[in-house]
Amino acid sequence: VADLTDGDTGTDGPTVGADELLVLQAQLVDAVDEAVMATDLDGRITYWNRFAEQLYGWTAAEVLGRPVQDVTPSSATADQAREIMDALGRGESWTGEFEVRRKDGTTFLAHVTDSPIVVGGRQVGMVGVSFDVSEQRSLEDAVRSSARFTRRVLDELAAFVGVLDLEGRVLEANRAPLEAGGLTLDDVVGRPFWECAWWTWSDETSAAVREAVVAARHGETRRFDVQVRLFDGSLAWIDFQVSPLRDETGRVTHLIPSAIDVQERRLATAALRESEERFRTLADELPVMVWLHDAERHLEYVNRTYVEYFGVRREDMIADRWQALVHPDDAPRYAAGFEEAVRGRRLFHAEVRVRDDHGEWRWLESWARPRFGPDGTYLGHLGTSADITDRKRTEAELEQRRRAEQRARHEAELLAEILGELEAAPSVRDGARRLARLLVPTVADEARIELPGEPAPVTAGDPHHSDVAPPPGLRLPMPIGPGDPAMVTLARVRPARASFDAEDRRFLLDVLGRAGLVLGSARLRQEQHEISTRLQRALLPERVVAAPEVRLAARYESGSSQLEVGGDWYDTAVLPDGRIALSVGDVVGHGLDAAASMGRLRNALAALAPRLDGPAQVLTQLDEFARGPNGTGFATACYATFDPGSGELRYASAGHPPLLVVSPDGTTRWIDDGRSPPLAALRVDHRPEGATPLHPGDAVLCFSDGLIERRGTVLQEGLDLVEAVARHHADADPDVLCDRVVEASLARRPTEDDVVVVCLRWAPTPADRFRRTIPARPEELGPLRSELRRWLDARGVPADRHLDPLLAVGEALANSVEHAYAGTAGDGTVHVELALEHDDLVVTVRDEGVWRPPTPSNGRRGRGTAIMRSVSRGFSRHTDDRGTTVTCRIPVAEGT
Amino acid sequence: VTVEARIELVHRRGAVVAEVAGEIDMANAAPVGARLTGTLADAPALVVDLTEVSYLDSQGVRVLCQLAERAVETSVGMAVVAPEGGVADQVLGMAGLGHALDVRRSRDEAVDAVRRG
Repeated sequence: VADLTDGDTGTDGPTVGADELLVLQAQLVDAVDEAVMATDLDGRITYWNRFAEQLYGWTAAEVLGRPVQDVTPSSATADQAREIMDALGRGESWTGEFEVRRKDGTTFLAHVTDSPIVVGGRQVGMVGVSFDVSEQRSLEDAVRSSARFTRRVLDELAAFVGVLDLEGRVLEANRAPLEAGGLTLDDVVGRPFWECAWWTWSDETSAAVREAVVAARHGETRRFDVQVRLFDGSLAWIDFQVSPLRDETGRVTHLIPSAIDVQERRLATAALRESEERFRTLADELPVMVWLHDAERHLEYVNRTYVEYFGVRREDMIADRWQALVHPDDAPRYAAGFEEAVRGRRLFHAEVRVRDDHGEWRWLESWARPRFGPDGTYLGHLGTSADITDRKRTEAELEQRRRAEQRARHEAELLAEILGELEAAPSVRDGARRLARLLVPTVADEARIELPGEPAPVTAGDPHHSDVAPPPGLRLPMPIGPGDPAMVTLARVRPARASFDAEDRRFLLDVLGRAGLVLGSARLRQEQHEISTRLQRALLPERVVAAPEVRLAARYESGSSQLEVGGDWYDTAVLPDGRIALSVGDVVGHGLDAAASMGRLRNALAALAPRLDGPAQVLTQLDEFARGPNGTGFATACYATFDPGSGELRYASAGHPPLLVVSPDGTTRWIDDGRSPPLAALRVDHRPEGATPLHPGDAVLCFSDGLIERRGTVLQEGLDLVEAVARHHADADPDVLCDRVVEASLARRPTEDDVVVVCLRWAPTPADRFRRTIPARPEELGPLRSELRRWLDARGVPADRHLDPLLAVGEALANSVEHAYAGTAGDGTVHVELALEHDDLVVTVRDEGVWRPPTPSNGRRGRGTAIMRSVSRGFSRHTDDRGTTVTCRIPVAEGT
Repeated sequence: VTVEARIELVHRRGAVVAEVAGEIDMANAAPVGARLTGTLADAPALVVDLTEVSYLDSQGVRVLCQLAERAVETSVGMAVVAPEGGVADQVLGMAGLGHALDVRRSRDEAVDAVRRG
């Protein structure tokens, strides 16, 4: 229509009248689908067809007569519209596209053709034809930009895209391969593709490409990896193909080569393959089993060690047959553990029994770590397993050895303890008792030892119910020297306790064998001890000598230890000149031999003493004897003589403890002059002797070192103790003094050695005097009366004459207690002395208190004095600043 | 060894007889005296039999005197048995106490004496 209009309104001249033509044209243009408008030369709208009404939204009535400028151009194109109008004014046409406006204000791109209307060679107006091209333009834009994009994409692509004609000559190639090859399009266009520089580095490659091109021409697509030469001469792998391009009819019109760069991939793949190969090679060489699971828990790989260990084929393992190798007892645990590790993506560790290729069950220790890809995906577990059967066996053996050693150590300790205890046993029965106590509870819960010839067994633990039902146990013999063995019954009754095994039996037989030896020798020692003690006692004098004015006592205590009996002696004698001789000695050594030696020495001394002058000579001769053919060997001895006439004590000591002199008033002194070496030891030409006067009433204590020597104590302690005891019993009878000294010494610590004590007291008027010093306390009265009664008995005073002296002493003492020491809490002492003078008994009671005269109201005082007067032939009371002395003379002779 | 004195009570024809045996001196006179005094409360008449006493001193004598005084106060007839020549007889004699105590030679005599009042 436009053309028509154009043409009609253009060069061809009008054939009808102008108005008619206009109407005709208007009618025509109303029928077309383009907007047609006309204006006069001023631009006022003179025509507006129906499509224009549609397109612009304005009705003809609305726009006719209005300047077109006000109606159609958009504000953006107003200037352009004026140029168009100017061009039209000069008689020119204008065709173009520009933005126009609808009545509602919206705009659209319109294709506009404006032409002048020339009627009769004169321009009368103009006509414009327009249609909406918005949609068309946007479609075209899309097409255009898509093509550009494609080209750009192709150029940007690292990929190679080209176009060949059917002869294989290059028509097109994108930028990437050109740049990569250091080529321009001109270098390749028109050339046979295979002769391009990419391929010509190798005839083989070139030929392969050519072959692909030929194949493509025949409709076949070839694809392969091939290396191309790059601009720097290096080669790169590409994934290459040549495919045919067909038209709609299916005819091949062009050939399209394309390629992508696979260098990286090739390298990566090669590296991966190499790495995997290396892994497998390495894994195959490893001495441990290596296995690889994929993420689905399928065994992907096992190494050679694995295959050889189990004697299986790799393929079978990969088919997950490994589970059949696991011990049925371990399989569930093992599989569950692995499943848990897989699910938790955790380390897997387990020990499991498996069957190796010899069909033997062996222990494996397996470790498996989860594997993860670079992006963190779980790839499966990589595991290793090692045979730990030997290690397990070694561990078990070590444990067994450790236990055996521990047991051996315990047994050795127990054995040592048992034997140590038994060594100290003084008798077989005591040893058996110790043994039973040591066996319970270390070895057994109950022990019962039946000794031969003894009806009552020795028991330990709780063996009484064994009478009811014998518990499972052992009954073993224990030989103890010749004769029947002892029978040892042991039982374990505690629930937690294992019963006796062969090891226990072996150990117990060993223990009992050794214990029996010790007990056997204990039995021998026990017998020997008894013999020694008997012999010892037999060789000692049965009694001490008696002499006027001298009282003597002696004590012998055999040592508690079987090993240390014998060797100590004492002896007393009255010499021809009336002197009293006493000796104490100790032969070194113990047992029967020592006892015999002691006997010889004592007899030798007894023989020598009357013939020699003094103690020094006696010991010198005794020394000679001890060294002689019937000698005794090493011995200590003390020999003393006492002259009751002069009161002189002469003494000599050969390595012996000192003598102790005790005065009745409690003073003591050690006398240790006259010391010389022990007998049969160091030879001395002249042994010295000491001499000291005794005062009437003094006592001398002579003892063997068993009295003062104790293991682990200082000798001085023993001496101090003897001295303290002697001081306390200063005026006691020699028998009493000996007893007290021995008691105190043994109480301090039982002795293992023999103890000998001899006591001599010089009592010039031994039968006539009773002398005591006692605390001034009422409770002392009773014991003193008992002692007095005995003394009076001994003096031949008849019992019916005892009351008077008892009353005299009692009342005098009561006075002292009540008056002299009132308020002093019994701290004072009272000296009591009774002396028989012809038929009278002189009673003297002396205190050291301050006498307070009796108060007149105290009737008892008078009665006490009355009694004293009444029993006395003479009575006196004398008080001075030292105290009060009461003296009564009481007739005790019969018939008085 | 402490001084021992034993006391046993027996009933004889309406009288309580305290048999004392052993020794009485200043160590135990007080408890012996207390014990004997205690019997006065229930006894219509008391005989203290000293036949078996082997020792008696002035303290013991004093306790007996005090007991006798107490018996008078409580109107209980009381006598002491001290056989002739025995310890009690001698000591009581020496202490000159014939007047303070009713001393009898035998138990029967003493019981008769206290019953008579």
